[in-house]
Amino acid sequence: MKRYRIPIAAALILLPVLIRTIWFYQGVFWRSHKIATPEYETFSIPQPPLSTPLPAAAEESTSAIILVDEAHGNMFAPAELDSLTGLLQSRGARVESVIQGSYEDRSLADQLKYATAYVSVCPIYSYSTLEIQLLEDFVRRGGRLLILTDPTRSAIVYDYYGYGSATVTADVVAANGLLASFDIAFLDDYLYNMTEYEGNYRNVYFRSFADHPLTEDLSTVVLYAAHSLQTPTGTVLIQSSRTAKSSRTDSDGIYPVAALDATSSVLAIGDMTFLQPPYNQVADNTVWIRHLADFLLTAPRIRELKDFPFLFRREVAIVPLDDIALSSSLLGPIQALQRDLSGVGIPSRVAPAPDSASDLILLGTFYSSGIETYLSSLGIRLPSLSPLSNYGSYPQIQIPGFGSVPAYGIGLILLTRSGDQTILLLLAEDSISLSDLMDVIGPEGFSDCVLQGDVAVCGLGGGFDNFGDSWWQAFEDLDLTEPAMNGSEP
Amino acid sequence: MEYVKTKWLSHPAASYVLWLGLPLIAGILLALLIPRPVIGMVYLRDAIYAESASDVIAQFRYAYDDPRVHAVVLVLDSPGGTVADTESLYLELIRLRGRKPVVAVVESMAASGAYYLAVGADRIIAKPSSQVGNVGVRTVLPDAPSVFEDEVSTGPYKFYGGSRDETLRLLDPLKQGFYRAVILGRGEALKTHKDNILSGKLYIGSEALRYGLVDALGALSEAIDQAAGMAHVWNVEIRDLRPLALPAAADADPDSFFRENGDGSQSAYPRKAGVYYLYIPEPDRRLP
Repeated sequence: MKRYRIPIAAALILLPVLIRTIWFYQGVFWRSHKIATPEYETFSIPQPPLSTPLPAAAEESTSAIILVDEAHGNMFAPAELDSLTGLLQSRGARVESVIQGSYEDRSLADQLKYATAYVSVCPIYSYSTLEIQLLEDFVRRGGRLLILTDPTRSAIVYDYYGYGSATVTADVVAANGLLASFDIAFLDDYLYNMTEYEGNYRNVYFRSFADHPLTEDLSTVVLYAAHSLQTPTGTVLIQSSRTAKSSRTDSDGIYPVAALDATSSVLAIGDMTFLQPPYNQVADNTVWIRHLADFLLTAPRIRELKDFPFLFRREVAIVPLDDIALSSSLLGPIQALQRDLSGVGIPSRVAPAPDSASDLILLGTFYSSGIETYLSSLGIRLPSLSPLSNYGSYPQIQIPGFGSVPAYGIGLILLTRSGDQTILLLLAEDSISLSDLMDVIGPEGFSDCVLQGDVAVCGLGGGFDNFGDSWWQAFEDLDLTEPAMNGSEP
Repeated sequence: MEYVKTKWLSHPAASYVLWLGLPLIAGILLALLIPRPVIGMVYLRDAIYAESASDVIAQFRYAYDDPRVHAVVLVLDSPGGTVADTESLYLELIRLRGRKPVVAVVESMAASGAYYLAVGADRIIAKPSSQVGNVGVRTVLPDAPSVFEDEVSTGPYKFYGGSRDETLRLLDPLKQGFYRAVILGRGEALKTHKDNILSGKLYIGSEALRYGLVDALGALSEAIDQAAGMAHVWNVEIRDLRPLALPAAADADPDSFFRENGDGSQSAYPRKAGVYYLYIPEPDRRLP
């Protein structure tokens, strides 16, 4: 027995150790593999693709005037447009701001008279009905609109008097108000792409372009957070690949981001960040910006009478025709006319006869000789009778769109062109009426006139029902009874 | 020398008691030297910033060094925090995990940087309503560089650290690092695609389980059991490691990280501009 004592003792020593060990431990934790961590050193900062070398461009000098809207709480700084405005200015264009407050809508109306294009970037305050009408009319007359929005340029409006809450106003609301009649609408979203992007998921590559001069030579454009847009009747110029997503739905799709309206005069783009350095240099963005400049500079702007005094592009010769003497009653109105022209930078002079080197303002009567040439292009037929030749009937002027208009108590302002020459005719019954007619002309346009295209019919004195004083004088001298009048018709 | 025997020792029973009892007592005493395994509890119930990260790292190191600690349960209730502090925590956690198993348990939220940390654990347990995910990086772009009359520097970006574009671009490698950590941490458990993970969405626990962003739904006890199971220990002692690792340290002050609102309440926005793995619950559109 004694020989077992030592093993038993040893066992007794080990037993509690074993029991406690088993009580607490079932095995030994051993991690057989090294735990991997991200290969941080392999992650690099993505660099933008180099811009495509620009083809040599024919830089034609222009006299275009581009208006940039700053009257609608626009969420941009003028410097952010430098890549575009610099290009416009380098080609001779003048870039002018439209600022709220000074003349309000009147100012916009005046500025649109001479503008070539109107650019609105991220507007926050809605356009008024009058502003929209002015801009629609501007587009109808060949002006161009460029509307840029950007999802990163929403305005946060704080409720200082309530609960301190804030409302986010997206720029698309005001932009869509303006674009509604052009069948273009921005969506209040932003596009992104999780699989292929330029530095950040919201910087999206665009490689799908319409076959259009505005997208010529483009293979890749990058927009930096862009609203998508819709246009049922216009032309989509740029759209995303199928892997892009819209934040509205988070679903894949092909999303348009730039479109022209049906008249190709209104261009809407859902991003403005691509205009800013360094993004303007990425991929083909430089080419794209150059196309935008072309779009703004090449507006086929049609000048109509309502654009007065911005009808002329060079010096104006004011020419009294053969039956008009520069009497004292005309000198004042002529001086006022010259002042109006000078106020908008158009030099003028009085000339004895028309010349082809200047634009012309011809002062005459309905009976001046040589005016038929100018009137024929407008389809206007003047009375063949002299004012005193037949008092029993009223001489009538046939004006397309107006019908017959009595040649008494009215004046005509007519716009016609001969080659590069712009010709404005001011015609009345006689030189006294002509003086009255010139008085209706002011720096803001014509008062008491009905404008229709290139023709304005202006009431002199009391309006259309009145006849010229000289006619009445002659009429009374002949002791004729007053004819019965019915409206403007004898 | 005279050898003296006591009378009782000469009794045969006494002899048995001696040679059986003494070894047993010795064995018991020896057994008591075997430590009761400890499951170390590390709590991160704060954003991740310098102070809070420093506290947690001290606890990780304690757990790493102390042989009694056989596993760690990392309790997370955090919206994340700074990029650098999150990465420090993550790398320390990986080091600890090389020696001891770590189980993360999500209380109400493990968003962004906190989820970055969670994917470094062996297992992630969440409650059905826990908010999990928000993978991604956020920052505020610096101002465009300008110069001042009274404050000067030796380079255009000395004040700003870089251009706006460069700042934007540096988010991408950080995002890739985060995504890679998720892939490495979750491995084959992940049942969703890259875009979904990188979308930055927060998922509730049950949905996160469906996508493989967490391993199980459960409570803290389950996390402790799993940690013990992975460490092959039973009947464990559960100890909060903070008093052990930082016996005299004061709690980290979240006010040093979060900005104050105008009314004195704590906002969800950090005080300092920077790059963050951070979830901010709602846009702070109230007046400052």
